[in-house]
Amino acid sequence: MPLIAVENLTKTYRQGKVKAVDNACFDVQEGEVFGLIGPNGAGKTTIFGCLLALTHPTAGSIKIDGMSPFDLDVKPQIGFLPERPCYNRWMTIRQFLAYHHWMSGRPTMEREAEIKRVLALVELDVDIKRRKVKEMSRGMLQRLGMAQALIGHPRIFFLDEPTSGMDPLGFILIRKLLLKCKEEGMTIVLNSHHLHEVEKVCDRIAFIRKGKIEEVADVAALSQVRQILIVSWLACDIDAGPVLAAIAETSGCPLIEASDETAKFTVSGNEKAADIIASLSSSGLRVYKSNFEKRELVELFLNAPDPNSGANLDANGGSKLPDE
Amino acid sequence: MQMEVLNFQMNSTLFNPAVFAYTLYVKFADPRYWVIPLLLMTAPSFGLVLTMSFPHPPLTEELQKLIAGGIHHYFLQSVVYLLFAYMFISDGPAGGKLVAEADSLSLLFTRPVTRFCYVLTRYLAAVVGTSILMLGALLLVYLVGFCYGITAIDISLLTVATIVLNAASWSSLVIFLHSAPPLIAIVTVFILMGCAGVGSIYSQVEQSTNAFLELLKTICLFINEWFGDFMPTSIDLLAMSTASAFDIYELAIFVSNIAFFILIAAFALSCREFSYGSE
Repeated sequence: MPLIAVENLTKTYRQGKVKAVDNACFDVQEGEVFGLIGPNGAGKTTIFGCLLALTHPTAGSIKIDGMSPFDLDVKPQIGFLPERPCYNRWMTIRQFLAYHHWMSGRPTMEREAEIKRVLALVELDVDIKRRKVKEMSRGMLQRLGMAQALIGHPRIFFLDEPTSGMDPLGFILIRKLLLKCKEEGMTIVLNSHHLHEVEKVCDRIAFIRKGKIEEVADVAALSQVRQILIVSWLACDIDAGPVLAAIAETSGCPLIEASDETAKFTVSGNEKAADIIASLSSSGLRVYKSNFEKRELVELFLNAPDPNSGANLDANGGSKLPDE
Repeated sequence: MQMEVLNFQMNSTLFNPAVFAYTLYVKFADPRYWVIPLLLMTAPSFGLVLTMSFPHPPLTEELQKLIAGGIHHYFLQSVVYLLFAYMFISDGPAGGKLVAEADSLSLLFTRPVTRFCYVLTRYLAAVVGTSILMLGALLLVYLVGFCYGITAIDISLLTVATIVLNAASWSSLVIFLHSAPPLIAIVTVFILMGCAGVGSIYSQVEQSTNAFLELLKTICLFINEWFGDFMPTSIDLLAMSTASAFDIYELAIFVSNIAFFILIAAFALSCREFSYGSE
């Protein structure tokens, strides 16, 4: 049984005129790192709101460990890092963490040790405890948010844009931390624009656009399945154009690019690649080199069949999708 | 024993000690939030005591009663309770920044705290905080008065109970205003006030032959009876106890008012949707 099961989740606003989430279905297995990716306004945050019982779904069902997200027994199992770190600014860091530790219903005697543990996990100096939240930078606030979410060893960790506002060291820290949580068996649901980060950490991802889940895919399989095959052959008198077009049609592997001596095909698997190479050889082209070019997640996302999509790379090397 | 306490913390759905403690802590840890209100409450009474006692020492019993009555009346002013209750219920010194407030609330509701529990706990914290401030001010005034030979200022159990009940009453209105979306909260309060006002006028109008008007009159009169001309009603147990008969009916209306606002506050907060992100 999946740890999180979402079935036909629909959330509408303005008496159904605006569909923020449209019939979304997905599940997350225990110990899995699951990513939600999509442009701004796609409905990722609304799905998060429903999963965290902050928003009431219009239709459909959500089960977390077989219970409704509104069930109080679900809450102690959850850690949540919000996108916008608007915490109680007047508190000191110790007070803030102690407050969340107390609210999560954990034993009082463990409080100080737990605060130390989570501060160490996010690599914040323990001496920082006396500093006020309002004195912290954006990146440090994000670390504090992570520390807050990790209080009490949650079983499920929801992260909304975890690397938002962080410097490159922060990126590495978050990745390290997520991988550590994954090793410990924690289930992680991640919502991010930084597709490179998602690719490095997630086991599976859901592509969301206009409230609909277009595809739920296995990240490892994605990089295997949708590869680009580059083949090169020795110069000859054969007109390669018609041959390549015919091979692309019969094999079902689209031809991306072609020149007199090289061609690029999108292939789904090694067998298709072997078929293409064999077909080229049998057509009289003497193939001397072939290799795969790995497609990044961002490319897959951009090549999804929506004419309105687009992306621009952000300063951190991730990809930031444009506002709708 | 420790385990029992912890068990209570884990399973309590009506009261959350963390929310209660931190609501009070944030205000009392910052002297601005208790020194200024204390000064505001005690300054007029000090002035009254000083100006009355200097030209006329020793004060006559009649004058003492006049001063004590004035102070008692001052400590029943509704607006003071309203302001203090708001001070405790609004979120932290950053209160007023609605986005920040909603964000910290959304994070809070990912913890094992039900919305009803939040309303009730925050309400109780406001009642306790307001009562502490008001009673502290009253004690200060009493001590200053005592130094000037004024012994008529009442600090009996009835006065203490009156202050606590009025704090409870106004806090219930403020927790509703805090929990519901601002526009809905304001419109609700204005509708109730309007009905109460119309009821007040209708009570002086003779019976109408029109059935619809008569029904409207009955409804408005009921609301007027229940909420008073302005709500929530204030109560003075000291005055009630000196009246010929203790008005249980008035007390019942008062208590039901409080319960009504707490319930609609919890309902409003339960219906509210929290979005923490950019959408």
